[in-house]
Amino acid sequence: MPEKKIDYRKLSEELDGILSDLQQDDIDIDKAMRQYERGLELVKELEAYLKDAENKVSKLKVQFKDGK
Amino acid sequence: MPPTNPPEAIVLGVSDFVALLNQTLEYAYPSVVVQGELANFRVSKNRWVYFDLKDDYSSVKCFGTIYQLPGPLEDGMLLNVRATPRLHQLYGFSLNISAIQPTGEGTIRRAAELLQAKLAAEGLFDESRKRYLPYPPARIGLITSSESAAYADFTKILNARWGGVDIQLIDVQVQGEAAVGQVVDAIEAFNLLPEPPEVIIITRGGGSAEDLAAFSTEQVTRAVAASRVPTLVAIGHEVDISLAELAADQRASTPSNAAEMLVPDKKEQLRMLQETAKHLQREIGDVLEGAREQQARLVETLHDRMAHHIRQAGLGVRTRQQLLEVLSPEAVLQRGYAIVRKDNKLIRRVGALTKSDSIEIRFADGTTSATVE
Repeated sequence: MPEKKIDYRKLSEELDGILSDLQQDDIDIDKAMRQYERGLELVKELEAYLKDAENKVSKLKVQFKDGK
Repeated sequence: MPPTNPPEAIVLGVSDFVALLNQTLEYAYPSVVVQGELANFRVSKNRWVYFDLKDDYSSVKCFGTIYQLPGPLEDGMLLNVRATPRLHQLYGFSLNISAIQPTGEGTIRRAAELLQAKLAAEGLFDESRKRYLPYPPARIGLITSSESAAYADFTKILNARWGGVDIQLIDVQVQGEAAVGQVVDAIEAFNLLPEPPEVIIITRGGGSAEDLAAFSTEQVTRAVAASRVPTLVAIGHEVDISLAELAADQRASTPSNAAEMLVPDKKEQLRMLQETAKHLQREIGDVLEGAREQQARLVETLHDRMAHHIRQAGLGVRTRQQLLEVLSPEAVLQRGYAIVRKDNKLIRRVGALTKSDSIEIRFADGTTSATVE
């Protein structure tokens, strides 16, 4: 899997913002079109993340104070 | 063979004897764990702890500091005391405490009750202290035993539900004497990282009250409460609630449940994303439809305005036409007046005529000639 760091929370929030923008009655049509395109892009990116991303475990070595 | 005489007894000074005995004790019993009932518990100068550990037949004195206490204690509790036996040069024999563990269901429960009351009074379990966990987190710190079923359950559910999480694991003992110190150190280690995780998960599976005891100690509970990184603690089964869980920002009933609470299910998220895509289509459709309607309204308004202006202009022309009609001489003739001309000149006064003048009189319906008499 290519190492592409996607911030799922941030992109999700952006998508929610776009949906609520598009629900405004007085949205400018050019802005609406740009938002719509960006929204579709985000959906694609998030879908790819959900399909491909894997969890990664690394061990952190700690010197315990009791010496064990 | 003739019997040998016993060797002559060595005479020691008191201090030498004490030193020799301590050396021997240290060699023979570097550390012992003694189980007994707590009696005559007292704390001096807010620092030194004294008590007796006894059973039906014997009693030994114990000495330590408050830092070794697992929480508040009271007489009658059954304790496992890890200690070094020593003979003090003035005060006699005692066990120098290195760790105390309440033991037996009754004592563990009672110790937990006392500690819970103490920490609750300090506000450690207050709802107002609870923080939200980032959802879903991108980086988590996991404190558990890597060989435990808890670890296997947690990662299995996490992997099934979600991806892309950076999991840093600190492998600790989750029961026994070392557990308390290791869990506390691990919480501290995560908090001290230059880039700490977004959430710390502390988990282990179910077990006896004794197995789970580390997670109800004052040290672990305080460390959880003091963590700057938000915490999710899942210890034991559904019914076991440790004090560390009460101090955590969020608690889960089992390790699997912890994973479920931590991240959404990606299948569900995928379905929601598809819904969102449809929603986007609908919204943009509405926006375009709205724009088309607005345009149509605009054109209609334009037509209306133009029609109005044209009507207004037409009205002006007719009014002036009517005025012209009223003012025209023809209209005057129609009302019965007549125009008198002599030699094609308009006659306005009687004085302009003399007898026998030939005049022309114009009525609305025609012209006639006449002679003035």
